[in-house]
Amino acid sequence: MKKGYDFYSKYVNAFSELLLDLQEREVDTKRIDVCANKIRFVSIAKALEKYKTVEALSAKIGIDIELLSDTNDHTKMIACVEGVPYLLGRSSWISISGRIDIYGGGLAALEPDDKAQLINARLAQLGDNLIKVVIVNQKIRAMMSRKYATIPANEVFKQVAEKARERFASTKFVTGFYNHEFAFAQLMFPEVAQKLSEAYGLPEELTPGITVITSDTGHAGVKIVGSWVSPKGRFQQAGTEVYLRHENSNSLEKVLEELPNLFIKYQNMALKLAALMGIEIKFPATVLKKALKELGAGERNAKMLLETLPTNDVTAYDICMELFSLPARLDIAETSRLELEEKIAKAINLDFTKLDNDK
Amino acid sequence: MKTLPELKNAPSVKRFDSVLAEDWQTVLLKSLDTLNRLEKDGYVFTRHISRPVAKCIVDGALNNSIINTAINDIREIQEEKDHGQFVFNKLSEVLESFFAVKTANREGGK
Repeated sequence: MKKGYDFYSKYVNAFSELLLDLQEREVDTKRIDVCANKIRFVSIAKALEKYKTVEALSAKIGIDIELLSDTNDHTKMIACVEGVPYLLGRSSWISISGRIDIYGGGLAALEPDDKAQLINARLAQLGDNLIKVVIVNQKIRAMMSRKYATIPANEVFKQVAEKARERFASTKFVTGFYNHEFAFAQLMFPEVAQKLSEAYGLPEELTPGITVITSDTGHAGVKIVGSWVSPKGRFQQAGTEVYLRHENSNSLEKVLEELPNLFIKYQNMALKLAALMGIEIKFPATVLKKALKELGAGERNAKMLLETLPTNDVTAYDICMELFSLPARLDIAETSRLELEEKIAKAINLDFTKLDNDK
Repeated sequence: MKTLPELKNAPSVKRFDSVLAEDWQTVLLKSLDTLNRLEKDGYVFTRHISRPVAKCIVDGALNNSIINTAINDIREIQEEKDHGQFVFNKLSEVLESFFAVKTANREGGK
């Protein structure tokens, strides 16, 4: 099956193969920023009224007939971006229906001509608002709003695996998969299995691992899930996960910063806390509020923690210890306390220097 | 005098324990937390003692001369009569940890 087909998908058995494939895919990717009113949808049926034959239409678009008929089997639409026609890939529908505010389940059920008319009307309304059109393997795979942050899938896998190797000594690739909507890879860390299972009080036969799922087209997000892998190869989720949407100022750097929060018990806590003792904080109240916000632990709790925070010479260690004390100081149900403890444990991995400003 | 493993397994040290830390790092950190609390609660100024010891933990290498200086500084504070029994006892706990770490290091049993 050609890579441009809507249902193209591939399982890979080696990590290098996944990286190479996604690298090639990235080379065959164009991301065009364009004003909404410079995009015009037309059904293939309508285009054929003008060009008469499939051959003539495919020649006009500059694409082979097979991809044209593949599109005619799915979205049945072409989108002209600043006058240049592109086939509309099936995966693009997620972003078109979701990201440019055309809601309603009925939209997908409309005939291609009606759909094209409706979308064109909406695009005209959006006027000169920028839209990022993502074209992969000769078809449009996504149309993102201006808030979209580009985080290519090949870079996600490459850099997450590098970071994982740094932390867990070595990685063993289990399996990988990609299609036009998302890509995933499963990695295991056999060298640290004993230490990690000991830290979590689990049987030694379980091996820690992660599943990395990312989409640089339709779904536009990165999710990294810590897992325990049974001897039979079954992945079972382990505690927290890292999830970041591709939007606003989110970046791959932010994803990598979150990675130490997976298998958080596998760390040198003494070293990290000692390092925090050397970080002086200029704006303790602000840092405390920002830290609570970033941890999802309720900014409103800052007032109570500030009461016991030293007034002079505050360090990141002081703030971290105040944060650690929070679950025990609140009158909440046991389940809520455990949830809060899990969130607060991540405080040790916060970049307090970055949070230390009065903005 | 308690040994390093005994101190490391004490309930009050458990909250600072983690799989990748060496015993001496965990025990020293607990001592630094005690010093930090004494300062935070307004008893004595200890930051000049904590900072260099914290750096040892971060560097992952125990520096005997830094520990010796810290021990001397703590003794000096203890000799000042006006801090009371509570502070004296807390500082004694810290000293005990510092000596245990020094001894374990000398014997090669980190």
